[in-house]
Amino acid sequence: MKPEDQSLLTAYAVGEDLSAEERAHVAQLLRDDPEAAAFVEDAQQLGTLLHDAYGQEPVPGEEPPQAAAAEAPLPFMPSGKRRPENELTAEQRRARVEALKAKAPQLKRTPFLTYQAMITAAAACLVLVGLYYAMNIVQMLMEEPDDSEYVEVDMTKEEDLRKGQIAQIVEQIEADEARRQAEEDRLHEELLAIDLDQEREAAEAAQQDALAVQTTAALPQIEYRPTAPDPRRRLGMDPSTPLASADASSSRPRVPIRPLNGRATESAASPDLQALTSGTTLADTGNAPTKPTVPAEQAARQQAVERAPAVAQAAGSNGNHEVFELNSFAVDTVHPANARQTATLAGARLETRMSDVAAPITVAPTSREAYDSIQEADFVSPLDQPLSTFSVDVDTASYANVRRFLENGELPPAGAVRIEELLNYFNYHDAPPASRDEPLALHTDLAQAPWAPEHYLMRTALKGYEMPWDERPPANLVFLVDVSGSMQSANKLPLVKTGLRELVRKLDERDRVAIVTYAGNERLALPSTTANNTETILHAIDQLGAGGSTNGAGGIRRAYEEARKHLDPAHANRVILCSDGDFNVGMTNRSDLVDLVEQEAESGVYLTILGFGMGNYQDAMLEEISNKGNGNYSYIDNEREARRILVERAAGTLVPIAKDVKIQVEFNPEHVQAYRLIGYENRALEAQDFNDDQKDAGEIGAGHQVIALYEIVPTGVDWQPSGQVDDLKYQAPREAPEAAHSDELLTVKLRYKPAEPKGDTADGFSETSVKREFAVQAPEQVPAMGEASEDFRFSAAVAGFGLKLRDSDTVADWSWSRLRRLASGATAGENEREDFVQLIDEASELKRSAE
Amino acid sequence: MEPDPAAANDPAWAQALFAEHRPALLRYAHSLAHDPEVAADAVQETFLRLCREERAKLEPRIPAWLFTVCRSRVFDHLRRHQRMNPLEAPTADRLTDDEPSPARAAEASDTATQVLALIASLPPAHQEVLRLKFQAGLSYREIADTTQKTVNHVGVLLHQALQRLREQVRSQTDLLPTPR
Repeated sequence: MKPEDQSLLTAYAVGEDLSAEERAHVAQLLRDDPEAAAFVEDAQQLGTLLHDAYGQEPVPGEEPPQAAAAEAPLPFMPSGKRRPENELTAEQRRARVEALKAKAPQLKRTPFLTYQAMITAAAACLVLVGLYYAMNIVQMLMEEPDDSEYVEVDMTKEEDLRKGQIAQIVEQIEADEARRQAEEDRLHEELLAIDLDQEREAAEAAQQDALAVQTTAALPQIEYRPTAPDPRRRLGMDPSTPLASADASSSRPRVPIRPLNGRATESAASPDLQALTSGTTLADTGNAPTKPTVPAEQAARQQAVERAPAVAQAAGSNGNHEVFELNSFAVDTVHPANARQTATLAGARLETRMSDVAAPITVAPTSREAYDSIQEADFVSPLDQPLSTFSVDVDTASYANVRRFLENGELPPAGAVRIEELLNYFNYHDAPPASRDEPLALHTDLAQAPWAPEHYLMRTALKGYEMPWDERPPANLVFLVDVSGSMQSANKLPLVKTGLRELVRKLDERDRVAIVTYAGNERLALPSTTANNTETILHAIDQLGAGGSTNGAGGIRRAYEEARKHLDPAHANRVILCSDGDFNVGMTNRSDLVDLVEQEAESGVYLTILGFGMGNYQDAMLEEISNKGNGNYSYIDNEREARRILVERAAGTLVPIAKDVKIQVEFNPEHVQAYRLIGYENRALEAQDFNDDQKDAGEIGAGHQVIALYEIVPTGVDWQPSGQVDDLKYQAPREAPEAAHSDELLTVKLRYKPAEPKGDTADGFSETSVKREFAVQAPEQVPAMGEASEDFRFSAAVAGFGLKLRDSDTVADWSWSRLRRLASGATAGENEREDFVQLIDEASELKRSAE
Repeated sequence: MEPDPAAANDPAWAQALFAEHRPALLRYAHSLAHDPEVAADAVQETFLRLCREERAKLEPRIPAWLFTVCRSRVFDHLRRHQRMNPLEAPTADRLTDDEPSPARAAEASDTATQVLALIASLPPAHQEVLRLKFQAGLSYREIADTTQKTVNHVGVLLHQALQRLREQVRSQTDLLPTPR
């Protein structure tokens, strides 16, 4: 039998739907080859074995295993071959009775006392659980950060689900009654001779326990905080107290919930849940027994006994929580997601206290990530501020980082969303300049803003000369690799190595490569070597291993030193820092580091930062030092991204073609009532900086593109400035001056320092900048966004996405679905854009559930 | 996309699915996470998401959807807590260390325990497809969607897994009759 035939026969044997062709082939095989028939039968027997075994596998956190899945009809076998169901359960029941016996050997002799003891034990466990929660809550209240507010979540959906779960639990109880009765009978025969009156009394208490325990066990996420913090009341310890009245009097108490992934939120408790918890009539669910029958009592008692250890275990298992630190979570604007996150951290920290902290890795995710806040630019009138000036930014890190957040099911903090980096992540089709002499080409385009059609959206695209790989200047590269312990995970150091290997294979004998590693100490792992020594370099890369803490600064110094040894202004001299940015030892002062890289950039060595990983990702720091180091900054979270940055865009990453690139736009008040720049918030420059060649700005690499969007309120449209000041007393009324009577809407000015490889500067760039000006005519009519180019539509969607992620009011009325439509209609069939559309879905869903 | 209340909140529907799939999802999540709490969270989250989804959109592919979401929730959780070990990594063998060894399984009297122990000795990728096929009852296509593999790859994996398991079952137990 051929292997592919075997594979096909396996598929057939396990009941896979086959195509007609495959079925015909199988039929032929079965007819012609006796081995095939035996093979199929064998596979089916094995399948039955597997199916049964899996069906008996314990369900985690539950005892005994539910046979539900196992009892589903076998898709591939005649039912006769299966083991009868009741035999299974009988076995289990017997096992459980045995276990019971083992746990309570004295049961036979003094059954009543034993029952009492068991119920007491169950109750004690519950008290412990209750106390634990109560302590949690008290601590949470005490430690709640001042600036965070409880988030009132719309709980209707969760409530419905909980209702569903409760109803399901009740159903389960009912469904189990028969089986449990049989079991109880056996218990009676084997173990019990209890006076029925006494039993009833005990069972009544147990009934309440059972319900409480069941609720806790099935909904372990719900922490209940009674208005009077008396856990006993909740646990039904005092049957004489009418529990319902105590709880019902606080009609909808605020209940902190620790759901799903450990976040603490607060909401109103479902009345049903309270009713169930306190053991009163379940009128709302409709199908619950109002007065327990004797079997139900027995069932309940049995459950109480069975469940109690499980609950205790559940409480104990909280010990696995890891340490969260709240030290550097720097987001100023608290939007719901952040507030929730903060609350989570507080909650998680509490739990750590309660437990024995022995987690292998104690640094938990988002908590230590640091983001600067972003102050969104408001609309301004050109009469107040005629000029808008900013430094270009070719970084793309923010997009990859935002994507990482969303794919993890979290909303990114607003500070992590840098719209310019979102825009520049994608490939556009703006024409590059034809020759190297004019390194930059500028394109502008106007259309109606999709979220406010009465406004214009201007897309400015700056496209760098696409240097063929062969034309590039030789590269003098020093890889500075963080090998501290935090780099250990699969998405960090191994990814670094993959990326470096790929890049090294692209280089040749003109290029030099060195590797400096740093952890506790820096180390020269590979002295600068010409890149044709591929074996040597790849070997050095392979040898990189993680361990120790991080002294980022020592490593950076060493790397620059190594780069300077082979410094040539005509070459692309660059330190490539691969790190998660967790500089936690030594010179950790951010401004010291910034000074250092700034100084080194002046000496001609530029800095590229590749950010890896997550958890302690210091986005703000990495961004700042890369800016000061005349560098670029990318975030790499998977192999595809590594390839994109280091292979596909290698020329752009390595070879700068224009330095200190600044853009200034002057708006004509005759046509422009107000404008705002979308994104580039932390790239804003003073108007006078534009002509100041001493003022540092962004570099553009070969083939890089920079997209900027302005939203423009044309004159004649109703618009009010947000913060109004009184009219000035000593000045003429504000109106457009004479010179504004022009057909020009605005002028885009561009400044950059061109490359001068033969010049005498350290980095091969001219010291004086050149200026280019492009006037944009006021349009008679601006086309709708739908008629704009695909690139424009897509850019608008990306910008809108960023604004919506930041909860900007300006796009509040523009729905996610319209955003999605805009984006999905402009994907140009490119994978990256298709993925972006997916991201919109993720984000809209998360936003919806956060609201 | 505006929330569609009519489609989103159908407790009976979600409840039925919950009852039907919860055990298998819990076991699956546990097999990925090796942590009952993470498993329970992932399953809970999966159903919360289910309640928010449009029923009509999901109806034809519910089991696959549930397992896919559950899987990604587990991995999200592990990733968030930096406990992620890629399935194929050498460390994967270590993950099964605490499971009963095949030798010990042979001593165990219970059929299911034996079979489960033998399954536990297989590579994680094999375990995953076996579980999805024989516990969750997913089709090749659904397994492929869930595990982000191609259908062909799933077919090959499942075939290999069965082959290996068959050898183990034959050599260590008498649960299968000797082939004719």
